[in-house]
Amino acid sequence: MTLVSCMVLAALVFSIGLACVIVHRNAVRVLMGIELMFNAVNINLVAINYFHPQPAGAHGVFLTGQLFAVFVITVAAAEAAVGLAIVLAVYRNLRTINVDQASTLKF
Amino acid sequence: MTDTLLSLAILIPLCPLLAFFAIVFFGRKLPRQGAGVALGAMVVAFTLMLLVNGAWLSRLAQQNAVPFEKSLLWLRLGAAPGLQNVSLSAGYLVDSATAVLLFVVTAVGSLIFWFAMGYMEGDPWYPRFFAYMSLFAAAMLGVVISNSLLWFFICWEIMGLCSYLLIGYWYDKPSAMRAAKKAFVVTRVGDVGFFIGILTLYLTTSAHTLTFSQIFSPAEMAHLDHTRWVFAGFPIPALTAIALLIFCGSIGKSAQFPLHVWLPDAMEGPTPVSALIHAATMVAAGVYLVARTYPIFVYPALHHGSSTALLVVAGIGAFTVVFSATMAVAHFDIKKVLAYSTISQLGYMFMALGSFGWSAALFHLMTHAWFKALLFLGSGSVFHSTHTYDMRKMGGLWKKMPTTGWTFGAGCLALSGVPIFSGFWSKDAILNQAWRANGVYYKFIFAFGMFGALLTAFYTWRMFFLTFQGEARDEHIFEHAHESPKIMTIPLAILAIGAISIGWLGIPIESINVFGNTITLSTPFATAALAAPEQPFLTWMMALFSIIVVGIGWWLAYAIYIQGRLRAPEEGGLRRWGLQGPYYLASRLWYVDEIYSDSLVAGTMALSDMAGSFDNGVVDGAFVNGSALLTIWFSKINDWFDRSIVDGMVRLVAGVSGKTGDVLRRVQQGVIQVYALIVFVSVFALIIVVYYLR
Repeated sequence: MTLVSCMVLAALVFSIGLACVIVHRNAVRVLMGIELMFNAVNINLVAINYFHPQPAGAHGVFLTGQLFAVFVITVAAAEAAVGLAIVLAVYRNLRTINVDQASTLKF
Repeated sequence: MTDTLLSLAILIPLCPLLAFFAIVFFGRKLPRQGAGVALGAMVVAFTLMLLVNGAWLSRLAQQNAVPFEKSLLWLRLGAAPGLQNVSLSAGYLVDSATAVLLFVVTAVGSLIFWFAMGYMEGDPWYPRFFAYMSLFAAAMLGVVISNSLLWFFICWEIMGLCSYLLIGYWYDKPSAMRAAKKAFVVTRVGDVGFFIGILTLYLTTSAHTLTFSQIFSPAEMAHLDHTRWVFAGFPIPALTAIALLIFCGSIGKSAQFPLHVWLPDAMEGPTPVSALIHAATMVAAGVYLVARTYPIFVYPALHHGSSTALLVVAGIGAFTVVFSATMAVAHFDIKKVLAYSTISQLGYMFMALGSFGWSAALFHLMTHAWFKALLFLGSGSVFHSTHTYDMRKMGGLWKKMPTTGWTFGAGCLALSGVPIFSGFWSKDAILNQAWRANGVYYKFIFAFGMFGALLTAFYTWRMFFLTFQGEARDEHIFEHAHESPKIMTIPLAILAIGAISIGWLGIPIESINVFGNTITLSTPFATAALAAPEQPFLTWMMALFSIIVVGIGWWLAYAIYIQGRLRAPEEGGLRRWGLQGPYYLASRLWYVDEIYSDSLVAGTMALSDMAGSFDNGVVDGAFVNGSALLTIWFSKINDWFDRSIVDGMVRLVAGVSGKTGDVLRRVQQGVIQVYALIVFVSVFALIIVVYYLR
């Protein structure tokens, strides 16, 4: 297992998540895709932390990447909550969660 | 002492000039609406004249005949190419001619102003009349005392202006305004010649001066005499040419043939104006001009035996005497008869000057001023009571207007040349001079003069008989005729006394003859040598002959108009003599006016029409309208440029912005996923650019 293969995995997950965001019309599915992208980033961070645990010439155990991943998880959770609240608000106004139909702010 | 008194002469023209300004500014607020000031100024001038003349006569008595002169440098311009130090001076002089004229103008002028105060009563423009008369008097006196041709000419022109203003005094009358314009333009024609004469004199004199004393110095006169100009291959003597040019001014101003046409029309003005300007003073200025510049005329005669210029002067004078006397015979308007009479008598004065009779001419000028002014004012008095000048409507007025009658009669006696009265002595002096002058042509001139005396006597007595004697021809006019008020008859009486007695100064007896002995030219130009010597027997024979001629004229008038024995010319009386044709021509003024208006005036009008159509067509059409068209076309091009190119650029910019915006705003789809896609595509592109294309 090399860093590159982990990052490739992360990239793949990220792309899938990106595809979900771009392609699907259902807003919840878009949010799921966003979650996938967050997780891909987490994989990246942890992988880098695993393969390069210490910066050059330093002593002790460094868990920077994993800590960062914890932050990302937190932020993802908050952001998911906010996102679903927005979806609820949109549904109340437009009676649909089809993102294609939330497009009045255009030319 | 004498010199101090003589130097007062400069004040004489200033009195009426100040009166002019006072009346112009204060007019109606002055006593008698300005007439008092005018008359007062003339009386002051008269008093000063007495002092100046007295001083001059005492100077002559001391055998000192040098003219008193005072002048100052008026204008100096720098050296001009060809002329060194151009400079002009102004000043005044007093000599015998000045003394005579000063006396005439101030004395007769005062009396006329006095008469006019009463005559012009009730006229709405009363102050304006006296303002103009005062200005005229100032100008005439300025002419009389000037010592150089420059100020002479300036005052001469002011006189011409005043003549225009006074003839056209009643400016609401179109005939008066036409007459005023005619007077001014015709005298101007003469003035052109005069001015050219002045300029050539200035340029030809070696000292380049216009002052009389400098021109008449022997050296200068000799220089002028020797100058010959070459004109188209002919040598022209400068002196004769200058003399003739100067005489042009006299022809115009003194209404001699061919520039006589303005004087009869000038009778449109008020009668005092006719008396002062067109009888006594202004028209005499032409005579004064020749008298003043006499050396120029007479020098060739003194040194070469004869003078062409003087012969021309005498010839024109003599011709005019007879020419205008014929016209006087054929008219019924008193003022017109008197106007033609004036032209005729002025012809006598020029005849005298041309026959080497300098003092005779001035003598006749003086007597003529008195009796002609008297006759004009008398006719004014007649008009005042009958309101007409037409003699056909008068008759028998002697019974109603005795004072006017006897004064008018005295004037007639003087004009026709009855002995004892002034006209006889002066006319006789002239005829005597013409007979004695050296040269065969002068005999013809004498003959003209004699014939003129016959005609003068005839028309004078015709005038008197038609007006005052006989039966009244118009009952209505006769009913209302009355004697004029004292303010008018007293000046008439004084003038009558003058008309009778003033000639006694020239009775040709050695001890009494003031004019012959005292009023003469100074020695270098004494003309005694140019005439046959005085022969007393011949003089008295001549006098007898002229008395006979006058008597014949009087008898003809008496036989026609009082006795009715002969038929009057106007009723065909001349037919049996074959002269009815000339009589008709004379009554039509020999068609001179018509000749002028059809040739010169019509020519000038045609020229001005051509100029007018050129102005309208070419200047207005081509230049003004044309340049306007060009401007319009140019502005149309500008407009096109502005609208299509400049505005096009503006629209281009706006259009480009709009189209760009139209294109660019398609990015705003409003769909979030599109935005996310764009973001990620851009990130990929950036990665490729940064990572692979470094």
